Amino acid sequence: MDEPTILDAQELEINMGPQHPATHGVLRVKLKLDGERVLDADCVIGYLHRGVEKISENRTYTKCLPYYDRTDYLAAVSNALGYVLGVEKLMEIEVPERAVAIRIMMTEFNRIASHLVWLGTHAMDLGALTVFLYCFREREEILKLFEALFGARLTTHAFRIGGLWMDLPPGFEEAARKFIDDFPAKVDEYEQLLTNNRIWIDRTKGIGIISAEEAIEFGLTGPPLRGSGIPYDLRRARPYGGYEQYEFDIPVGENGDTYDRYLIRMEEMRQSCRIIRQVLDRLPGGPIRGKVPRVIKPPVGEYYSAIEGPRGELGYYIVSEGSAIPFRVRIRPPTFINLQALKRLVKGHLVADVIAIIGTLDVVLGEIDR
Amino acid sequence: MNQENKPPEPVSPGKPDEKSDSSGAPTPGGAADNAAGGSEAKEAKPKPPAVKKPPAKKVPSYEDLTDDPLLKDLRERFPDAGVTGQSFLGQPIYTIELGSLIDVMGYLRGSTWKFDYLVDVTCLDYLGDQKRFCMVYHLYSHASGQLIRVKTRAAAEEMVPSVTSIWRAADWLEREVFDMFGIEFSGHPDLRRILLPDDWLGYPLRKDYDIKLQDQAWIRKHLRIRKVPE
Repeated sequence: MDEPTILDAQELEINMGPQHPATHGVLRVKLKLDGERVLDADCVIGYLHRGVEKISENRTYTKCLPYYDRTDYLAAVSNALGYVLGVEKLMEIEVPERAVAIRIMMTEFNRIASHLVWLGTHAMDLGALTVFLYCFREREEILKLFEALFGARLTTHAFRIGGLWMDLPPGFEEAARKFIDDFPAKVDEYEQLLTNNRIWIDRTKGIGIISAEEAIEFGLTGPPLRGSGIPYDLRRARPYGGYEQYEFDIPVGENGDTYDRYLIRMEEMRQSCRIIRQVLDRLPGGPIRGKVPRVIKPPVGEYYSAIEGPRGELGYYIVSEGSAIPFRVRIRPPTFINLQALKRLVKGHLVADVIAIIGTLDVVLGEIDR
Repeated sequence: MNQENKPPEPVSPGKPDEKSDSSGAPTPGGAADNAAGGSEAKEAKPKPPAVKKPPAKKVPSYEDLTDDPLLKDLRERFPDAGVTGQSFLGQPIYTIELGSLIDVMGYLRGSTWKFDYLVDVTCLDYLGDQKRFCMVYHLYSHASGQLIRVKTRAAAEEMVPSVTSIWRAADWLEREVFDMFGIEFSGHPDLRRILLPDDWLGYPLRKDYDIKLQDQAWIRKHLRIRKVPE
């Protein structure tokens, strides 16, 4: 082969990440470039692998729970919900109404908080720093609510098998109500900054288009799937944990591009507010914990418990051999599977768009690597 | 040890639940309505405490599927696949022979059943069994809203046919199973480790891989840790 000169148009292979501010954690993407165009991309993951599934096989059912907070650290409350629902199903534990309602409320708060981090970082990646500051201002309020109820802001250890750790502290309902009263106007404010913003539209419209058929083929869930027009939301498709009692809409997109996925998440935040308002309006009284045996020892069996996390279908496949330690807990991580589509989404786009597409998939590496 | 909550809450379960096993207080919940749930819908937990039948704590168990149209169809179409059907807590499980995996999966995807969404692929390690591994596939149909689980057993050194040609989503999922269990998939386009380093030795989610076990040589080489605790 001849010595390449500077004028040769050559394929170039570069590493994006693992230490790259716009990859939202330690994601490494090996890009094959032709000038600015992406020819191919290969994701290298696993930098955060901690063997959560292996650890689960060596802990009791209750002791597993805190580890799941640390998989998707932006949605610790959702993670806890999926797991406790599965164990409760296997154990046939009945959860009191009040706990069910509070769980839904906190999970929806978590959805908002997670979407706010997504919006802030996504916008920041694309050059809109103001939005980031606004989003984190509102997220702070939610984290304060988490702290009041769970005693922690991020790794909340939110729920317990059979119910909750403690009841709502005094003043919680007022604070929650104040938040949802104020918040929809704040979403409007973010939309003012972005939705009709020329630069934003140029950076997101028509970027990373995926058709409905392909989205299903890749197993996408969450906003990336709904962005392509499939109204698949587990809260509606297979209602769990009491969601069937609440009214909410499932926003779907038309074009399956980054802009549509942005609009969907914005609308989801409003819908979450709607659910929280319904919970607060008819919050039942009563105990917050069902009757739970001292030792959680499910009978021999298996259960796949899936919930709609902020990022898509989060499943726990729990297999019990009748002992106090799970035989296997398989976590079906939504972003692990969504990230698979990155290779397909970035093909033909510019390097700068790769950032937009990673942002729109809303990846959390803690969950991908587990 | 396995006390999960220490707070001095009045509602925390003290002794009453110890009793509940024998006296059968309102604990059991709906064993009956769980089994009834056609497509494993999670029944509403919040039930008024008044309508509860105290006795007979029925433990959920595997039940054979009867009158299941999918099972009947599969048996007719694939007589050699040894299809059996069970359900647990309302979730249907179909067990098939490894040899017919691709045919059955292709049929499930393509035919009128239209299981177009591969939810998950994972594996269970029953160490000591003759057919040690159990591959578990979760399938969902966006058209009918049905979720099923397909299982197939494989011996330790046996190759499992890859379903990547049927669902593209299987690519990374199978790579993860290969990474964690060491199962080789025939026909997979790019079978490499995915979470662990390429040159790692051993398959961590196998039951004979102790939790404290690490690839000492790898750690010494790459992390430059001289003395690795045994």
